Amino acid sequence: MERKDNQTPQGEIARILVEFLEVAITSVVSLKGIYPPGAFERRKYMNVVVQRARHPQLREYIHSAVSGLLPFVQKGLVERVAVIFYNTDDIPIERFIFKLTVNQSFGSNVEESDLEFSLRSFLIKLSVSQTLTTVLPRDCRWEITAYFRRLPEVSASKDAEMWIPTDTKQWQQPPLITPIKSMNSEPLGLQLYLEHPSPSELLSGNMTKFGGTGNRMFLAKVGDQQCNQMFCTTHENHLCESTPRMGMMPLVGSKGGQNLNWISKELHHLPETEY
Amino acid sequence: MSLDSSNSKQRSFNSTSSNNQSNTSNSKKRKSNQKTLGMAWGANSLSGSRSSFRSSPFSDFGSYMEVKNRKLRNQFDAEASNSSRSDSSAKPIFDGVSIFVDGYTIPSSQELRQYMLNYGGRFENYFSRHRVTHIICSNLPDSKVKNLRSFSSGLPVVKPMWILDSVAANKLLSWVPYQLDQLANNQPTLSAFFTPKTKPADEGTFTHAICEVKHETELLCLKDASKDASFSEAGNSLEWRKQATEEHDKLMCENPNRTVIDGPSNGYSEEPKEVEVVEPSNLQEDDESLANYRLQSCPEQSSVSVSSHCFDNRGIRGSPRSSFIGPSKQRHSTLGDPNFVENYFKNSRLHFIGTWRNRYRNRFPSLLNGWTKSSHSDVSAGLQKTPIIHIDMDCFFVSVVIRSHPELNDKPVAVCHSDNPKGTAEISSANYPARKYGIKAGMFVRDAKGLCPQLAILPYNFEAYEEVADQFYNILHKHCNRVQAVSCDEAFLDVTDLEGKDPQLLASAIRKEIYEATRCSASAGIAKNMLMARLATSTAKPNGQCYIDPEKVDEYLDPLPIKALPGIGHVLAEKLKNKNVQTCGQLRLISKDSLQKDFGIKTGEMLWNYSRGVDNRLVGMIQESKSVGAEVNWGVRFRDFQHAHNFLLDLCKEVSLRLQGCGVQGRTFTLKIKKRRKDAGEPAKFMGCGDCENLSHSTTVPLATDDVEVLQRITKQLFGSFHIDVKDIRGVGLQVSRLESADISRQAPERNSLKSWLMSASASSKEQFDINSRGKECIGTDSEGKRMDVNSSLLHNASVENSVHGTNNASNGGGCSKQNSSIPPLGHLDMGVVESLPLELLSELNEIYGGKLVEMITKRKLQVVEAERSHNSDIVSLSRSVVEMKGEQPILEELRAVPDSGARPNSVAISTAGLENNDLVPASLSQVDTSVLQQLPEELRADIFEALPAHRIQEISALGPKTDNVHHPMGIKSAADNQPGSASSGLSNNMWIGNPPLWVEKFNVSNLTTLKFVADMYYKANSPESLSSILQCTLAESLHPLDATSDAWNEAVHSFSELLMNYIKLKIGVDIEEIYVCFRLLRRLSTKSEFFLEVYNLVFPHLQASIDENYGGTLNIPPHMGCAASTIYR
Repeated sequence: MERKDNQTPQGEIARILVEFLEVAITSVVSLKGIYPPGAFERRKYMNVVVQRARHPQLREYIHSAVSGLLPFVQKGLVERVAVIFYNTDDIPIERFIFKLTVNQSFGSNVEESDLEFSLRSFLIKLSVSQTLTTVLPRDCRWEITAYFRRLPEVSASKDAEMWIPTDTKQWQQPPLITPIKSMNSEPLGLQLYLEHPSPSELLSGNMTKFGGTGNRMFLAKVGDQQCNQMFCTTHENHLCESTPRMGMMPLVGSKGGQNLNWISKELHHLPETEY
Repeated sequence: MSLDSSNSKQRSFNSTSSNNQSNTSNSKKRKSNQKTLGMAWGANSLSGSRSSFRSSPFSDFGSYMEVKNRKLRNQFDAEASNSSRSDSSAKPIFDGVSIFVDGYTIPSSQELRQYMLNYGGRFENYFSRHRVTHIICSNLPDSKVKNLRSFSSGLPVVKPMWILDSVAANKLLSWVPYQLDQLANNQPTLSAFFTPKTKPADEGTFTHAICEVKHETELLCLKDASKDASFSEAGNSLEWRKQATEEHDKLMCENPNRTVIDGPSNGYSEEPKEVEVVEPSNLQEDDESLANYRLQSCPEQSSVSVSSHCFDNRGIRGSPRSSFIGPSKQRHSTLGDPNFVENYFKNSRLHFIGTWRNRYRNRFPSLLNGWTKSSHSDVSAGLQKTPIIHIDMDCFFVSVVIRSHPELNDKPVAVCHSDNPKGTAEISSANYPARKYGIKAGMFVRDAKGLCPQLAILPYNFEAYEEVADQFYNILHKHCNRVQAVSCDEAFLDVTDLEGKDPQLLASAIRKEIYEATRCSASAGIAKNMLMARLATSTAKPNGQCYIDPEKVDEYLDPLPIKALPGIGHVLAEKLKNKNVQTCGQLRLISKDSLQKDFGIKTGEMLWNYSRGVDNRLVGMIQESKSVGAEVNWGVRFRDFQHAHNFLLDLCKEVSLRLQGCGVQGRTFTLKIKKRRKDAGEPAKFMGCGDCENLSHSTTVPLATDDVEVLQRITKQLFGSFHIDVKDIRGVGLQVSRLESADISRQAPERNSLKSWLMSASASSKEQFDINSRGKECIGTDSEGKRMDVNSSLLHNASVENSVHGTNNASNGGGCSKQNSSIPPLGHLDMGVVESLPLELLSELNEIYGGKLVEMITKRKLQVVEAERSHNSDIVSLSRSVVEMKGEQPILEELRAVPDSGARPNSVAISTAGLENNDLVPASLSQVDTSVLQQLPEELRADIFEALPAHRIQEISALGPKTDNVHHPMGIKSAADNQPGSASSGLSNNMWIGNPPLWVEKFNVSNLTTLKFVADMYYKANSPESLSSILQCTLAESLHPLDATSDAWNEAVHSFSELLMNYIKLKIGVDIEEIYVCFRLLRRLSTKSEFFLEVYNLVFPHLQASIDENYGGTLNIPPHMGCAASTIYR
């Protein structure tokens, strides 16, 4: 059934989507001002001005993270890709969620230009969405996490081997969701929304040092944890579970290894001095 | 600033002249002049003003100026004929003189014009190198003094007294004594443009020139702008104003002196300012008179000049101090001196000699052109007699300097730029007493001092050299009108015509006169041709003259060593020596064929001729220089790339100036680099180049240029191709060849360039008007830009929106893009785009293409239909994205902006497309949503059942009995019907099926006004598929809320809530953005209407539950300002 990746519509969709995600994630990181503005350069993508990371390591991190997802996106395994910003206590402050739906039964050829045209609006919208986001505190870090509908077969792909488990701290309360952009087409559905901790979460004191002093955040050296590339898997069914509050949490080590979590071995350090 | 310097100078030239005229009482004149500039800048600035310009009969500025100048000349001619008739006593003393008055003068330019009218001269309102012969002015700003050459184009700059005195004397007096005092010492000298100048001041003056123009521009632009309502222009001019004032301020700080001088030319002061300008230079002369050092009249000059070092040094001559070496070492290399290139050439004797020719040519242009041709006729006659005199000053560089040191008259003296006795400076010239010690030119000072410890070493005095050279040539030209200058101190005279005089007597008379005038001796050789005359001079030296009788040529040549012959250098002499040839006599024994075989045809022939005293060259044949360049091989040490780079830029400036000075432009550029050999140590000569590899790269450009920026760009490229460590560079030279006369090449490229091609009709403009070229540039690029706009919009597929945009932009800019653009060939047109054009445009285009367009369209009809369809969708989506970009950017927090009707680009469009595609009949009834089926009208339902495959009908019938409450013949019943109360559980998205969706009809037929109203909104909304768009519309229309007590209230609320919940279900999985927007809108509506508040409160929990179920969170609907109030109200 599967010929070559790029020959199936899904392969084509996945390719475009992954490329788009790389740009979009870079835009998010740039938007958040976690690195100095000089860390990015203006590029044109899909006829929109976007930011591109100049630092090879940063670029490589984003690139490898999303391109590692390619086979899983193609098979429709990836449900969400999240860009999560943490404070120094490793508590998420803000999550940018890309929710993907790749139509597995879509049979006809994908018109790349149509798809790109739709995806472009995400980039446009994203670039003006700064006011929706929270100001990050100093010394925060961020990571890319992917949520899976079901587990990839470990042996099937060597791509899976670069994944390591994660134990990301989670919010106790369901987050506030702010949609940024949605698109839904026959071959592909994509939504981008923000998740912020609910006000009650803040009151409970779990979140500390909230709110930075300035817009420009510099990446502090938090050991080796600066920019861990993390991938989480989550079970397809948990969305329908009766405890929706727990739904967003990766179920670490539960249910006989079915909900394994994976994290990349690759660690990403961004030396400040190079900027 | 992309102006080349000469342009800007000329421009400032004109602007001052116009200011000057505003001083005069002739207000009419002033008016017309202002208008000129107005037109000029209008044409120049932006297309906005061109619309007004278009109506004029002139196609562009060039032709306008041409006509204007012609008219001015005609007026002048008419007036001149009148005045000469009325005043018959006046004789045309100024015949052939054409003056241009610059700046404020006494008498005024109008009076001068009157003089010219009366005495047969010409008066030019605008400066032109071709028509003007003399520039009249009372004083010059520093900037012009320093850049005299680009300012005056080599023309004499004379005080107005010249005209008055000439009129008084009733004959044309020589202008030389009337040279402007500022320039008297150096006009038009080398040092005038090599003046050491501190950089900021230099830049300041340059910007001032521009700034002057800008001030004027800005006013005119503002005028234009208001006329044409062209806002962009106004913006520009504001910018200009800012710039201009900034520059002006800067200038004021830097150079108060200069602004004072500028005063009169700006028309604020009436007093003549000559004295002020001259004073500083005089003072300085006094200060340095001991050193016989005449410096330029610029006050800021002594700061960096190397010459002042020489002066210091000279003062302590005889008591050598090592401390001196330190600073000089630093100064005299590229490392220490930022103005190295300038100073290098300023102190270079070779440079002086090399550039002297241009100066000479500028000084005696008519003489050179006048007779060279006529002399060709009597070649044969000339050969028979002894018509050639060669005159050469004796050790020119020393004897000129020595004049002010009478005590050194008989002492050994050498000229050198440095007299550090241990130094490796090379002696450039030594006098005869010194030569007796064996001191020669090119010797290191330390060696010379070794040979002759009492040797006096003097620095150069270029001003004095120039002065003496001028005197020298004045005398020569007085005696003979056929003079060929060889160098500043050496010339050939052709005295063939002077039958009556004995050449020998003439030569001695000339020599005597030279000595009297310059106190320097000269030697002369008299012979039948140039070769022999030259050889005779070498015999005659020093201070003598020698006559070689044509009969005795062989006798003279026989013992002469071959190296004495011109053209035989070390290499050739060595080769001849190997053949045992050392004298001309021996050389003469070798046959011509043999010589040509050994040394090449030309060299062989030369040797053969010279050994026989044959020289067919003619006096006065000026060899056009084949290349112009500058080379620095001393003191070149680069620290880093940037350093080398700056050096190159300076070198380019120098070369550009030289090109402009020669009035030529070049096409081939050769960059030569001396690279230190790997094993070479520090050279023997201090800061010399040592043992070097000579590398060179060259490139040829299609258009000849002398523009400094182009030169710099080319040079940078060339330099890049060397791939060399800059630390190894010991010398750099830039040479420009394939020269063309600047006048020719200035017109030619204009005709060939794209720019001129794009311009409608400017090729005819031959006049070099100051603002002209700039104006063209603007028009050129402008139209280019437009053209691209139009082309791109025509050629690019699926950019209908863009093309509309493009034309909008063009019209905003006040442009006439269509006029400027050439028509693309028919085949290049995108038919899809053409088809989408408005009818008027289409017919217009069709006319342009002579009706072929319509033909083509009909041919492609089928394709077009298809193309149109795709385009339409593109238009919709494009326009949406445009709206989105515009609308959403600034006001995201504001509710109104988000649900902007057009702001929902793709998702909706695509989803509907999906729905449309879905009307394929499903393969099985199991895929049919029963609730949908149930809602369908009966006929439709029947159609669907018919369309289903026969075996499926069984399924349907099987399906039928399963459902309860059979109303329908087929037995299908919606779940919703069963449980009408529980909206949340039984809701399906059925209300949103169909086009228009079912709810619209349902609401429409209901008797509830609110629902009807919302249904109406469906038809009004921009994209009715999305609820947000409908709600947006609802919000816009002022809705009159229902009375809460109405019976229909509950029903309406229920129906609407059902609609919303349907919608949530439809969208929750794929488009929470839409839901988000809807609920924010609803929130807003709820502040206005209790109905919507009720609905909102009813549906909101359901929404959050759905979100939580699907996304594990709650939708972040920010609290609305009216929220609290509405809660209270409720």
